[in-house]
Amino acid sequence: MEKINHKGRTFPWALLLVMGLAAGFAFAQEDGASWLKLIDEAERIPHATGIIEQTITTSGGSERTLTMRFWSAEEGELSLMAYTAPARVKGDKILQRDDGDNIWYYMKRRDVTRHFVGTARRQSAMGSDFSYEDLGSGDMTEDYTAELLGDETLDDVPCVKLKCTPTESGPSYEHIIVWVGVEDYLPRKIDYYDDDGHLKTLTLSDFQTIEGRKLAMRMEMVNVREGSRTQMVQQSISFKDEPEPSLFTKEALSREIR
Amino acid sequence: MKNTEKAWARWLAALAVAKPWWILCVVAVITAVMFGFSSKLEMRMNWTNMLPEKEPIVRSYLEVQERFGEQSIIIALEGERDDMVAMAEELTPRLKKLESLDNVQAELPLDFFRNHAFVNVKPDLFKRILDTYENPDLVGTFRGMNDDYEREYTESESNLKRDEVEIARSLLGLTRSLEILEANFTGQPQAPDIEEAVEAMTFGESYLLSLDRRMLLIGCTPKGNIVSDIDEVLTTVEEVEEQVRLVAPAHPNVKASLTGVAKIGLDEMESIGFYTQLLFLAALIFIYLLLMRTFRSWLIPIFALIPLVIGIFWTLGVLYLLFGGLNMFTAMMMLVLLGLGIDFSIHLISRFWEAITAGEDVETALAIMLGRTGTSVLTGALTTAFAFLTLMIAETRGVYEFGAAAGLGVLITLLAIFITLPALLAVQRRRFDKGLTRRGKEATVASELSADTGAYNWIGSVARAGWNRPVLFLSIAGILAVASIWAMQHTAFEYDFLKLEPKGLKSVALQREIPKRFGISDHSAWLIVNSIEESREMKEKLRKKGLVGEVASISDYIPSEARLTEYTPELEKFREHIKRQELPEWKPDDSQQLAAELDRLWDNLDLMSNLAFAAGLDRIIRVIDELTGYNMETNATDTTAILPSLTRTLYRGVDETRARTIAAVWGQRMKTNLYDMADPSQVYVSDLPAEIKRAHLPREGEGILLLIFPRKYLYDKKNLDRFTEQITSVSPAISGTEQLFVLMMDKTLEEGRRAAFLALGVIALLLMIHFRGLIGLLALIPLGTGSLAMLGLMYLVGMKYNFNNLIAVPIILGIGIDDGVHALHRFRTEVSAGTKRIFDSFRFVGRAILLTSLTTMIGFGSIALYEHRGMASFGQALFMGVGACFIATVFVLPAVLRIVYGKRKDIKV
Repeated sequence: MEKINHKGRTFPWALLLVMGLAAGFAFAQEDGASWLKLIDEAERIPHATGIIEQTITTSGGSERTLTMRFWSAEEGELSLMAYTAPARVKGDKILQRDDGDNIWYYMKRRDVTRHFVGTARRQSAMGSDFSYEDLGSGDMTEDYTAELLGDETLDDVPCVKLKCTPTESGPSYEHIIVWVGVEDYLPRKIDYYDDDGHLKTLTLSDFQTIEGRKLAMRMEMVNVREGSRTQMVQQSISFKDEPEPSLFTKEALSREIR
Repeated sequence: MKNTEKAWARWLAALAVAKPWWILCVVAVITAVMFGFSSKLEMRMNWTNMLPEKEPIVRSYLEVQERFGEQSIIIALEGERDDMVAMAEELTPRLKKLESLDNVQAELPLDFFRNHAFVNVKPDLFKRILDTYENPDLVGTFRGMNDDYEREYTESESNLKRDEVEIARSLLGLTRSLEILEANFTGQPQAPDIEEAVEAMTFGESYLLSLDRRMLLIGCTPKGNIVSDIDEVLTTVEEVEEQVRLVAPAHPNVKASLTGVAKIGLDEMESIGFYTQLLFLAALIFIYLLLMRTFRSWLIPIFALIPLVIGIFWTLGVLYLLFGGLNMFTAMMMLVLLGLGIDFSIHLISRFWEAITAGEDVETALAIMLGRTGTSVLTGALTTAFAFLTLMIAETRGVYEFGAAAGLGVLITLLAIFITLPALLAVQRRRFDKGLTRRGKEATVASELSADTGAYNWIGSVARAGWNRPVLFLSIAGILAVASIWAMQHTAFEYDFLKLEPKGLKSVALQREIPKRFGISDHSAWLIVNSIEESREMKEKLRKKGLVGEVASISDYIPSEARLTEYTPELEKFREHIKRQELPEWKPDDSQQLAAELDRLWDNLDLMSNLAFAAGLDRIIRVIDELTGYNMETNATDTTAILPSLTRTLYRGVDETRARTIAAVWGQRMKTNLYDMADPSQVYVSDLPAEIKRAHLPREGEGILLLIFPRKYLYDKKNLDRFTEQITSVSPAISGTEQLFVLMMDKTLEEGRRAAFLALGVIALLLMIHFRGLIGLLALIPLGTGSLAMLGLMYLVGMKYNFNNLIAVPIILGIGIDDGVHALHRFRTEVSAGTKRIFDSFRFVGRAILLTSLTTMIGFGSIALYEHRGMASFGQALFMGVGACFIATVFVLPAVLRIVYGKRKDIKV
């Protein structure tokens, strides 16, 4: 098995990052750095499997719904997605390793595997409004420095508002603004900014407790410039069984997964 | 009986008796003149003829029409690619010879592109293109293409989105190129030359082909202005149709059809013009039969209808003098006046017979008819006319003209009736008296001409029930009113203007088909800019907007100085490289290498199509699926599609001699093309082909036109608004068809609402004057209930609001009030008391208002049968509205009267 880079997490581990944050906040911290540290501590989930339904509404108004199974391991370092619907992409898989620096796309129809280079991280993932970078957002304390902007209430949930600025090795955004619930420490909303201003907004909702872990079952990323949106609904998720490490190899992509 | 009528009535009656033939002759002359005018009326059936001209968007639209013209005639050829191109090649020169056409856009100006292609490439594509075409030999070309696709398009859809237009166009060219290669590799007889495959590869398809390559479009811009010279434009449509008809027999495998704003306008005019007359005649006959049955006479309906028809012709003549033509609303005027004007005749004739039966002489009977009933008819007509005239507050030309036409129409029709009807009745009585003398027998007037003076007791009974149970009736009415208010707020708006067009029009169906086949809307927004650089800047900004599918700009053909300075050294280097390059000899295993590159291309295209699928880039998906044979519906691949087929052919092995020739011709032609395309010379406006200049430069004066095409046909408010928001965020000066349509809807809604309130105010005032007090306002209650019921019924039958039926609300106020006025008037003059009073008044007045409601409903009912769905919805709404107002008068008013009058013993008569 290839050596694992523990720097960051990859899709769908990243989903868990934004959905299942912060359960272990023992006490409220008032400065940004402490918040980031606690977020990172909270997101370390050993492994997960599940099914996600992704609905993409393009800026042209057309809608696509894709369903996929996902597996993650090594605290999110390894992730695999396998599309199950619609027929056009059924059987296609995306394997991510090394914080998205290595991405492989397997297309079942042509039985061909393509390796995407690191620059793909900043591009959108399979037509959605999430970039690979958003999905594999890495270690918050390594990727960002944070400034506490104050308190705010979002949908009746008291939150702290953090302005997170990427470090040199961090993501490509100019900064992000994160709203984190002060009681459950879960993020409710993230605004993404680039050099031209506000780019996207991620909204997390429908929080449920699954196998003892509270997480958002619904995420919606809206590209405020283009008017497109992507909604991801967690249809099922489990943290019990650890996937086989061999699942996360390029060679395994062309094999059927039961 | 002493004639105590008003002086004007006595004078008019005396004149009618003394000089009936003179009057009828004068009327005949006026009618002949007006008929002449009315026959010249233009039928302006497009919604663009009804726009509010003061609005900046409309002014911009009119400016574009005037200065640049509009590609308002589209010829669509359907068939196999080669058949369509053959027909287009024959048809285009013929069209270009037509004097009435300003521009014909069919084939791309390949000679221009051949010499100026690379200087016009966007910076982000420039380096890529030079890299892609570094090796112009056959295998090298496809290898370069694969390398480029893998660098740019197979990892994310972001770049696909950025280059969607270029990719779709180049893939159509690729398809053509592969087809020619396969035909040559397999040695098909009459295979097109390899040079043509190279042209297709480097320039794309020269004609505007649909994504499935089964439709080809030719755009024609008439010299005439579709707004101000509609006749001229329609003649141009006929000339274009004639050319298509002449060419078609030589191309039996191609189906040629026309669409575009001008063609749809012509079809609408033909459909509406004939159909309107047919329905007018049908309504006339229907009303005649209804009156004949009611009055039990064949003569009375004729007397009622003749002056009415005369009045309608006068109105149409006046409309010609005022507006010169009829728009979508005023075209319905004949039927509206037929339904409304017949009421005037019925009331007057009834009163005349009543007087004659009572033993009055003809002159006195006519004076009574005019002085008494005529006065109340005049009051009613004024109420209706004022309600219509309130629509003249509208800025929307269509609504304004309808208000003026209907308001004046009511008054003119009444004038025609006042002048003609007494003379007709006088002549008839004179002939009747002579007949009596000749037959030498006694006869009573009543036996010869007896109107049915009976009452409808069932209406009286319904009214009595309402009087006896006012709480129950008013509760039901209240519930229905509340439900209607809810319904009217939940009725959707129709923003798909093609859904308002006549059913079954081929041009409309084609208009809807084109965006589906081409993956882009066929009508555009526009912006007039001052310079080529501004045009370039705007285009780049607009291309980034999600709903913008394509931007046609003159900057596509003229590079900036800065870009040219930057490109020139690279281009010179590239030219030198191409010039010096020795083409490699075709080797025996090159067919396998070429097959491998095509296989790789297949992988790349399939991957791109999957990314494009997720991103909703339909144009790319469809062209790629055509190439690879993938069918999304069946999830199967058609292996006879060009890419699988050619790949298979090459893997199997091809004739080496033939392959060597193909490769040699390909390489040589590609070298020549690339060398020419890399010419770094500056391009000036004077170098541009005529069709490009005409498309972007004004006929006179300064300015450059930029055209912005939406990604798809937009028909819902949300997307229309989003498109507007996106394009106006780039420049607030951008206007477009989508904005015009939304504006038309919003304005009609706003102005209809304003006119309705104004009409209500005018009606309330007239009611208070007529009934000399606030009691007159009681007539508003059935009107309000009936109007709300109309809106509720519109929801119930699944209608949507559109700019045609939105003006039904102020109109129903003007028409529906009559029932309440007559009923209230009759009740107040009834001398009996209690339930007898309500029963007696309603059984008599009920019959009259039922008859007049029915005649009006026949008028609007015939509009409801129009093929034009927007206009039909107007007729349907008013048909229901008039019916609802009658029912509300009979059911609700008695209950209200009971509340108001129930305990009062004194009754003012």
